[in-house]
Amino acid sequence: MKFSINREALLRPLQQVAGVVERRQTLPILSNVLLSVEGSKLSMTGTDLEVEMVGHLQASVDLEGEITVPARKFVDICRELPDQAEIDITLKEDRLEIRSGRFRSNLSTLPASDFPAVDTTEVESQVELHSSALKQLLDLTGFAMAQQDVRYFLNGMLIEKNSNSLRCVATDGHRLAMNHFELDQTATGPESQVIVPRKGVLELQRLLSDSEEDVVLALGASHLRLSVGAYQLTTKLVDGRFPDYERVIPRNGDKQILANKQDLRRALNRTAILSNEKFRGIRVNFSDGLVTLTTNNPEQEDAEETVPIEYTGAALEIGFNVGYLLDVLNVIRGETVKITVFDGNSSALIEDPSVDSALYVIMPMKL
Amino acid sequence: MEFSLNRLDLLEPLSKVVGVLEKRQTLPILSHVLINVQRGQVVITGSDQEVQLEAVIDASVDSVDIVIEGVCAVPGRKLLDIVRHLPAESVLQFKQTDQHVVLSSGAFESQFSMLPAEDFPRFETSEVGVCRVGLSGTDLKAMLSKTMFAMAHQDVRYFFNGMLLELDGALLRLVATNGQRLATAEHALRSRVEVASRPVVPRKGVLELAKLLDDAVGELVILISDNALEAQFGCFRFTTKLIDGDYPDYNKAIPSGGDKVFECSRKQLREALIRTSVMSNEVYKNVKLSLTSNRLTLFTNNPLLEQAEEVVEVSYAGEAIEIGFNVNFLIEALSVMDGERVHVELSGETSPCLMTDLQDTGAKFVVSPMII
Repeated sequence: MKFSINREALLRPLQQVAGVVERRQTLPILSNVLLSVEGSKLSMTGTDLEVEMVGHLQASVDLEGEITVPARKFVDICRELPDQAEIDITLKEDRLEIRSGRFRSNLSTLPASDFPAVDTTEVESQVELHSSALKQLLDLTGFAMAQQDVRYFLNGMLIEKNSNSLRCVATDGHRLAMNHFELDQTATGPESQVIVPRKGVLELQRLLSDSEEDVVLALGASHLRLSVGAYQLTTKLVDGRFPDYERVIPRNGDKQILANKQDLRRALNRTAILSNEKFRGIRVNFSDGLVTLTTNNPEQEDAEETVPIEYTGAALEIGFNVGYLLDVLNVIRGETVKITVFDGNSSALIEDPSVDSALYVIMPMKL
Repeated sequence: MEFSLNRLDLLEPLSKVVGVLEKRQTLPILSHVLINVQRGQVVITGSDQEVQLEAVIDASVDSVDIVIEGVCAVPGRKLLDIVRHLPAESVLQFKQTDQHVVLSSGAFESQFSMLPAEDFPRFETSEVGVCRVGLSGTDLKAMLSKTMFAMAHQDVRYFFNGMLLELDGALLRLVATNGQRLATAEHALRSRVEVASRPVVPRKGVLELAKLLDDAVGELVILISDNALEAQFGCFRFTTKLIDGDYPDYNKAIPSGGDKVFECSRKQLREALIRTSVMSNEVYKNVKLSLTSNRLTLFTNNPLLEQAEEVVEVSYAGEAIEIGFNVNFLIEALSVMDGERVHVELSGETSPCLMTDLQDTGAKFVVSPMII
């Protein structure tokens, strides 16, 4: 294997691929990236056995071949070389030689045949959409995923493809976030429902940009694959049954509240400081034209603030985890937030009137 | 205690005072700030028992309106978090009740727990052997950033976990070392000090002082007594305890008369060292330097038999020499210098290396060799 490439062309794709490589792993080969040179193309692959990222780029190739090298060190060297440096890479027996200007280095290698390939099954259905649309779907829901929950299927996100829409749902059992995107005619294949693990979702978010670039999402029986330009991200799926989200969404709410998002968010931020550090409970009192937020903690400290709202009806008190309220208000894009409630023991439905595809549910908390 | 003031007048002093509090502490009072309202001033104090910072908000120049004088201690971080989250232009009202301090502003109201002011660990500075010196905050900050990286961290030789501040005649010199490398910087004072003084400031005191000295800090007055160093600037009074111990004679550690002398581009040498360091042994971080005529070759390798090599152009015509160093010690010293070019003096493979910044020759950096 022998090729040369410009530092600027190599660095970003390499960092993107090395990003999925875990810092600590059980198998030495998992700290390596696979370099494959074929024709005039260099392909780089990084994996943690759950998520695999491949990047393709053009290189001036002298000799084809493939090998794996330590990801971290390879990135560090390329990053520290001067801007626009030409890098010559040659496999010499079991060492990979990197040369650039007056710098020369030998990296240890492991054979490419030992590198674990994610066995991809056949693609069942495929969706083509804008990068920004998929990014928004994930960004508006990802925060609600569970983290290290024993109900392992909650440590991920449900992605559901219907005949005309793509839906994302995340929940940790206390709150839920859901968003969908209307598809045009590009979708193929049957309807399907998959659970993408947490790390897969975070890597998808990292790879997607706010651009209009077309991306392809392919759903298989055990894998999901996203193709963006020269990158391919493949993630295993979580095998499990996701809770029936339709049953979680409260439909009986008869009291509607409209509030200015910024004002409410800032007031929550302030009052949250004197809430119980562990449970983070906040008392929310809706009354005619006004909401009163109250917190207290075991040190006998308390905070209270009132915020004007649009509401007429009977007074109502609900307790919430203030962190869950803030998470939702942090992703809402519009100026106004709509809250629909039924009583103090029922979940609240929160919507963003400017993004009507998204909705959020927060369960009440006994205080 | 009852007073009001503008949020903007409180925010900066409060956030600096809270900055010196330890994140985790053994005594609850150490997470509190002392608010002392008297004689037309609101004085806020934070302490971690080693360093203390006091900020004075004066009613005559600021928006302070004092109704009732008083003093109490309230949780520092929570108070700061709330003040930070209140709208920019708001007016804050503080009022002490039986067991609480009430902070209200517009539609917001909160009650803080408080602790008695007597419990607050006020630090009394000694009046003995006071030495007073004035200098610019920018100058001191520049000196600190050139030297503080070389201090030891949790070394049993406790005086190495600090910095020597030497005041002698009309010269201020800072020295930091961990026994394997040393950094020193000096600055001419505008006037001679009457009493020579060599306090050793603990690591935390050095780091906090450097953090406080941002570009906005103008003139600085430093007072050194037997048990403390005090820095006064703007509305702040920063105090740190001193380390009681004899700092070693640093002059012995600075080599002189090295006969293998070269100069090179600081940026080129630093970047080449960073690149080659990737392949150095992860524990020892060793790099081998081979100096021949007009060429300096850097070489690293590790137990995985990986290696890296780079040649740097230097101006040198003397005898060839090979010498090993901890690569991080070299990189750290080269990173804090200002000049384009660095001057390096070596004498033998077991003797320390002296590096000088050609733009600030008062700053010297010494690194002991490693036998590889």
